[in-house]
Amino acid sequence: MTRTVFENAIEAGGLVKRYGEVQALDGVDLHVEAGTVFGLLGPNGAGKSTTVRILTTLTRPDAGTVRVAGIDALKDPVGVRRAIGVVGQKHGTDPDATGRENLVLQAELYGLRDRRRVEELLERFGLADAADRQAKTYSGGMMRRLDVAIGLIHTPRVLFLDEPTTGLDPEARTAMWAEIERLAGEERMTILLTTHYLEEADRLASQLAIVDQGRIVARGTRDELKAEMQAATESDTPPSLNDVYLRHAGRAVAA
Amino acid sequence: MTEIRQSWQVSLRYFRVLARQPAFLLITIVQPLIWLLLFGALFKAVTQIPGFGGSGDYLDYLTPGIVVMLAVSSAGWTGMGFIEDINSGVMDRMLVTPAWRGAFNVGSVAQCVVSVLLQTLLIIGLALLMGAEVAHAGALLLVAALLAASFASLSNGLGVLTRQRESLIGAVSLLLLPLTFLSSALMQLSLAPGWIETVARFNPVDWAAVAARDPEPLRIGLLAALTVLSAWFATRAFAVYQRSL
Repeated sequence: MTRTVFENAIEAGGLVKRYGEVQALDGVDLHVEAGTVFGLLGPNGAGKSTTVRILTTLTRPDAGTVRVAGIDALKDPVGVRRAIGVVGQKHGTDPDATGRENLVLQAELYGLRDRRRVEELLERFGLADAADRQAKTYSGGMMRRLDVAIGLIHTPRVLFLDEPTTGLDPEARTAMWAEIERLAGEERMTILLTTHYLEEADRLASQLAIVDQGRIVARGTRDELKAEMQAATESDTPPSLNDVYLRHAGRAVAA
Repeated sequence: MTEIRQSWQVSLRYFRVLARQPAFLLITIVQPLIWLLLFGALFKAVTQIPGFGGSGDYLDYLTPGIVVMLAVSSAGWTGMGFIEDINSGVMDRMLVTPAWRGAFNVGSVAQCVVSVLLQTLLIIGLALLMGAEVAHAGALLLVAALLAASFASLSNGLGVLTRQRESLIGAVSLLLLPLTFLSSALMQLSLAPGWIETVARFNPVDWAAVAARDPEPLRIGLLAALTVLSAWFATRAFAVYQRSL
């Protein structure tokens, strides 16, 4: 099987997802170029997490197509799972296990027996000293770093970060941003991150999509979105990303 | 091979919890002893009822019954762990890996079975000390393991499907006593009303209670079949859970 070259790391078309009466996704299209950081922005309940759950094979859409890392996620979810790393919104760490035990279990779930990767990640995320302490004794920032390390255990090609810095203090947030930049830069990983911090999207993501009420309401590079708005509003000064966001998802922000 | 290794790695999680919480371990040890002493004292005179049969020592009759009761009631709560994993995010983190789904259930069931086997050995030991006769210790262990595995899987499946502590607690509390008392765990069914005897024929707890005293291939086979079926159910439950996400 050859799936070496792929232009888009993520391609999703016409994603629809309903939960009973609630229409969570109403035709979402996404294209994420390989090697870029893509930011999915939107208010709570807009459909960001549902989109991530579909792209990461945690659930299936009612309609639509999904290809991740060149693999059809609906026909070969196991293939996609091998290629992607996921850091969910909630902690995925087992609080009763130590940091090292958490990483070892995750490695084994990917069929990896080499423990060197575990040590390498503990070192890189500054968890080596705390490696044999139960995760429930970790600070919020340490816990989040362990979450990311768990998501990276098998060196995925595409990484999904669902609100990676929610609940972190400013210092831990800055450290997390530096790590995300490093993964995208040095390791040339494709990263899709969801966030409701505009500052975070502005700093990290080269491509953005704004989701509201289960639809993509705006997309493009930061500068495209800003320029487009400046032209539309005939303003003399370039808008901030916040202005762009308010314009497209204003109702939800006000709520 | 990979499946076995993954199941083993998952089960380590649960064994660690057991090892790191001395209180939990203590309860696991003390509980069967209390049951044996309590029921042994309470029902001592029951063998004097005409028609009870047997050699006359209730402890001989009771020991397999206590093992069966304990196996089913320990196993019933296994699914609580999955509910916690779903709420904490651990479940989703495991489900995005390419690991075999069955490993999550097998790993958790393995811990339950090992605990129940330890408790069974304790009960057998104490019963022997108290002068009881344990006729089929091997069969007793086998039956306890199969019954525990079946109900642990059922509990896991229910936990994943309902995702709520309250629902699982409700289901287990509702089922536990009827399953136990509509069986020959504590009482000869020949002395019970006819309808109970009829119902018991379809009750896995009764299959276990009968087979533990008189190892017979039919009921052991039924328990083995139930073990496989409920493991399949628990593994399928993940797919249903994921569809609802």
